[in-house]
Amino acid sequence: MRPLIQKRIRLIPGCRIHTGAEEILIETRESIIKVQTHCPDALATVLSRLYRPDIPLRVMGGMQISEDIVESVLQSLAEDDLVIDELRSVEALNSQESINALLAEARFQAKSIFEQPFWSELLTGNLSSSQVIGWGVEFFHFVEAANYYMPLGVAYARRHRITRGLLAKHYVEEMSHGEIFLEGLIRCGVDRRSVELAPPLPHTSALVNLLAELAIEGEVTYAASFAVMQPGLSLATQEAVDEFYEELCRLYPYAGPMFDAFRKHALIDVDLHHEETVFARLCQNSGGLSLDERSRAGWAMSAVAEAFTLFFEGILDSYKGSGRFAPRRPLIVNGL
Amino acid sequence: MAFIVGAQPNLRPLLRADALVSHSNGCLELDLGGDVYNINTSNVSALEDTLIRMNGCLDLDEICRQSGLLSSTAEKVVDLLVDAGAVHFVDESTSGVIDTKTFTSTCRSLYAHWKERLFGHQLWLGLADGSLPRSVFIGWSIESYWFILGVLDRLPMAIAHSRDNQIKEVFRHHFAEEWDHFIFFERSLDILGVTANQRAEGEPLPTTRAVQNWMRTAARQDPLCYAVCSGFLESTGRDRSTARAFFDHLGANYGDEGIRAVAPMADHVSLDEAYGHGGFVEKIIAHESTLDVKRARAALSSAFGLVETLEMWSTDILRHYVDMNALPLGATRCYRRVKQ
Repeated sequence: MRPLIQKRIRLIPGCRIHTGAEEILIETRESIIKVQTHCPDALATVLSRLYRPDIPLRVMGGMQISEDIVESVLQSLAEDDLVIDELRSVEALNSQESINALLAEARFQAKSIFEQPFWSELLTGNLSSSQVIGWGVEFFHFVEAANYYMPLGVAYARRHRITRGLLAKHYVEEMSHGEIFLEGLIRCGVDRRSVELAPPLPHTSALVNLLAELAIEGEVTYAASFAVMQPGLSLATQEAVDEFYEELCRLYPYAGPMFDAFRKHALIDVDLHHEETVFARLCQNSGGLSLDERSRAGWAMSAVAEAFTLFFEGILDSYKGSGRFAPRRPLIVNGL
Repeated sequence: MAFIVGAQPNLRPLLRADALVSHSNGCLELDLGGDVYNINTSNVSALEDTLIRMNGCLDLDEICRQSGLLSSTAEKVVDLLVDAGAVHFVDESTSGVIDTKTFTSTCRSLYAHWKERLFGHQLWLGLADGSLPRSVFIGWSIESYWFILGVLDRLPMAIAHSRDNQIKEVFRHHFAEEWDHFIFFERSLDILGVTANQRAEGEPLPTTRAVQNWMRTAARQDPLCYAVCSGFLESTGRDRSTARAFFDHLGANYGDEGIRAVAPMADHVSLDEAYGHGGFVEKIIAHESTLDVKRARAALSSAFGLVETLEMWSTDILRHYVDMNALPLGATRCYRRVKQ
């Protein structure tokens, strides 16, 4: 197997690189990787050039830096899904390796979403009440939209038809979850009808419409989108779910009932083992994906990650206003 | 939908969805597509809170209970805003039909407001005054190319989903005239050094894709939704003198290459005008005398959703292409790199 320095490598966009006298720190929201080195600036330069995918060996051309050091750092980053080998899934020699590569890609894309500013602002208690409740409302719209894109995903599954039962069961499991979030919002004092009539942010609609288009394309891109949405990263146990939402309740006590709804939903996902994605099961049940399907799955994962990045950016931008939450107003023109 | 003049506590006021509310130095500012109203008050936060809660679902008493504003103050402000056309009262018991002339004039009126609002975005102002870096100008040109190319994603969807042959004919005719207009933007990008290979390898920004997907969704929903959305898009080039002035400024701001690059874009606007694409909505509903109110309302909501999507698009272009790493185009981009 070729070393990572010879592969086409991409570094996660949310990763921050800091240099010291004889060390380099590679920081993400969840981890800090510390590397002792005599050439911190050169190593930082190599890594920062990988924000756009490139071959590290080519990037290193002419620099005074050891290949072993770069390879060792890349291996560490790969273990944490902070870099990906962009061609791993299409170059895989067998079905299991291609599935592993695509699941690694899904985790990388999911992590890139959680490295965006929304999450650091949320977890440091810096979001306004408008942004916190606004998140709940937009998430309600998103969850409710499962009744738009998921039936399309079932109806357009045409190639691997054996998986339709799996997709149908998944949809049935998700179809009524919007009410959980709506109830949580109501218990926070938000008017039910105001939420139902509030148009989603364009960022939320962009995400939902993308998922619908991926569903129409077929089961591979549809299931690949779930590989990013339910990647099984860290909240796969009841204890982890409880701990996460208890912290949010502590930071934003007025939104406690809403976070109880989030928690309830997350625990349902844990019980249903949604971390074992429909995508992995589709790949396994169908005996592997063709080269073209792998390529489209990778594209879909990237598109979904960008759409989620926008989704959270929309909440930060659009609900930053005066502090207290107010639902968005529907367009009803006077006289109509 | 009834319209009742005068603030009454038991009725549910609705502030126009497209009104922008903000405040500074004790003064509340209400922007209705370029028409700006200022209200001085001792409790500007409560007033702002009151206005943004006017969503047609809550009565004025409940709104004041939530915002803390005195009902008497709220009633006075509502009276003023009703007169200004910013607020009306919602009565959902009313339904029925609207005549198509009223509908098209409503569209034209809203389009004018929405154009003011969209083109007041930092992206468009910054391009026009040359304050944005060249990378943003090139990025805007690239995304505009994909946006225009996207007619192949959106208009065939509208044709296929039109049951009415007369409407289908309007869409077909439009497509026959419009389908290859991306050529104008290819010429621009050639001049700007964005090669055919780069264009083939690159991907539209997620928000450019969002505009296309919004239109595809509208087309599947109702041809009228698509037509009212498309009517807004076409209206942005309808005022030829404004469009040409924008392109003149744009070219001049980015040197000789800029002047040469925007020339094909200006040619595109002229061609659309010659085709009469600005009168799209009128053509679509020309053979109908009335429209169901519910359907008309859904179409206008869809068009306003498109306007918001275009604002999101403008912000995305600005944020992405201000980063020098955004160019040249490649198969994979670094989207929203977190600042060090």
